[in-house]
Amino acid sequence: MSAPSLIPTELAVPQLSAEVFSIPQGENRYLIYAPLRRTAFVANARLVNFLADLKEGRYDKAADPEGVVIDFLRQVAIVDSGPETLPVSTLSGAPLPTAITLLLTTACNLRCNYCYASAGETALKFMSLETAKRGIDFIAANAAKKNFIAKYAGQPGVTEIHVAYHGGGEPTAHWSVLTESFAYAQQKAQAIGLRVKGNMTSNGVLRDDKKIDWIIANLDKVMISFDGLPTIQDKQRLTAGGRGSSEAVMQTLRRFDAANYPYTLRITATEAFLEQLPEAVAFIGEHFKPQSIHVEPAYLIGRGQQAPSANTTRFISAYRAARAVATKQGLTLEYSPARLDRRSNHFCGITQDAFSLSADGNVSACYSSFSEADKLADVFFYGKPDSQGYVFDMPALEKLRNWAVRHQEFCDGCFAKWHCAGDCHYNTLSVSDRSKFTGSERCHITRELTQDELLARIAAAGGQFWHESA
Amino acid sequence: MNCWLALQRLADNFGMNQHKYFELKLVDTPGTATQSVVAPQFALRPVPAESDADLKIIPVQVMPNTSEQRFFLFGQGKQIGVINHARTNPNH
Repeated sequence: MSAPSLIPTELAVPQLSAEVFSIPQGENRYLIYAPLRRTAFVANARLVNFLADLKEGRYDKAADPEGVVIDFLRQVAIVDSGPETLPVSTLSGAPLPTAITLLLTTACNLRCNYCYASAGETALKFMSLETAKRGIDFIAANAAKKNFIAKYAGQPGVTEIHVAYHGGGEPTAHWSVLTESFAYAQQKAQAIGLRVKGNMTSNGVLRDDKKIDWIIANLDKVMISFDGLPTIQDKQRLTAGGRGSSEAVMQTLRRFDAANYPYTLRITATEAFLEQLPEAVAFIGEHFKPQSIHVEPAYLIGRGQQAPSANTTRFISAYRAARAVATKQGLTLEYSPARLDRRSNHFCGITQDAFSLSADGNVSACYSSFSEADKLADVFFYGKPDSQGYVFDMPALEKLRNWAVRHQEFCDGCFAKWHCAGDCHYNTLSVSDRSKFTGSERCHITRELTQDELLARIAAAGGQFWHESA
Repeated sequence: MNCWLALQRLADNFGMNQHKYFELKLVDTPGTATQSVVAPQFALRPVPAESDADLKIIPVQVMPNTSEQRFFLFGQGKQIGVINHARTNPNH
């Protein structure tokens, strides 16, 4: 029998039990943030040093004679709360995806001046129905396999397979394979007792109510690229014939709204129109009912490669002003790396065996790398079809899995790392040295907007601290 | 008392309205939008403590009547011990 501890509890040194960040706010103020404890408050330097001492295993009892600070830190789970659970999932072995993204075509009816895919300038490619069916067969078989294992392990299995449609071109430009492949997925899923969840990213230029109604009837959700103000849209997102596209997109959105169909909008912010971002959001709020609006600075790739960067402090100011407008109108504005409610090791699917098929049927982890001719194809393409289904380049897949943020030394000291999760790797690799991850211009934007959200949450929680139970 | 109630009470007793507020100057995190290749360093570490003797939490408020949500007001801060004392002293 072990002897009882003779050390009184009150004499034990309190243990810092959270990864804590300290973000200078000027004038002896520091934003203290423990992301995995969902806790934030603003402290003076003395309190920062008190915490830093705890981190080193020292407890400045004289600074806290009645133990009230420690009591507070315990209540917000920063002290004596056991180890943190990291938002880390690890995959191993051959991939078993139950979700597929079909990159149907490189053809597009628009010639947007910032198009990441340079649509209209690349070789025209169209996916065959057989290629789409092969991919759908693969994910359906994986779902059946997972459910078989789950049944005998007494665990919940999968209830649906996911089929998504994305660029390099406009998915609706390959209408027959879009609709026929989705019908095929529905048949396959039904045969094994599952449902299909469908979504698509589109430019929204459909000009055909029957097509719009097919989307409403079949797909769970669509993201439409729309730059908000018709004047901006018609300058940046021209049709292949050189005309404006705003009226066609708005017709689609009006039909979605009439059917209460759930969709999100994506605004691409270019340097030339940053000042009009708040106005663009206001216009959307006055005319449409999107579930949320995603704002991204134009990527410096494809046709946007030579454009002036919008990854600037002007973007941050424009976004803040736009967010104020959105809040007044009851809209949700998002910048993808700065989502305070997400804690993840993965920005997107590329580190989680995402299964996207190029028009030629090869497997890419990233829909920005949609073609075998892409300059980053050697990074993102990791599989090809064979007689048994697909064969995977496992070393390439392992490299992709290791892009998760926990493996990025560069991000270790960043308070936003579990929210941005390393951000878009395609973007980062496009502007940086491939051999070492060193972030991108977007990191600064992410940190500023994350910091805003933290301060806003503290204020909304009463002004002293923000804490949510896990 | 559950944790959340305790925290709420703690917050209530900070008495935010008693503080003098002043405007936060825009403070960018290190690294400008065009110079972000320096690895971010926000891990908790000692900082110059200036003249403060007490451990304080600084209250935060969103500046009213501003069109940009960026602007936050910071109070002068209050000793956590005083706050906890207030929690148990209704006359405080």
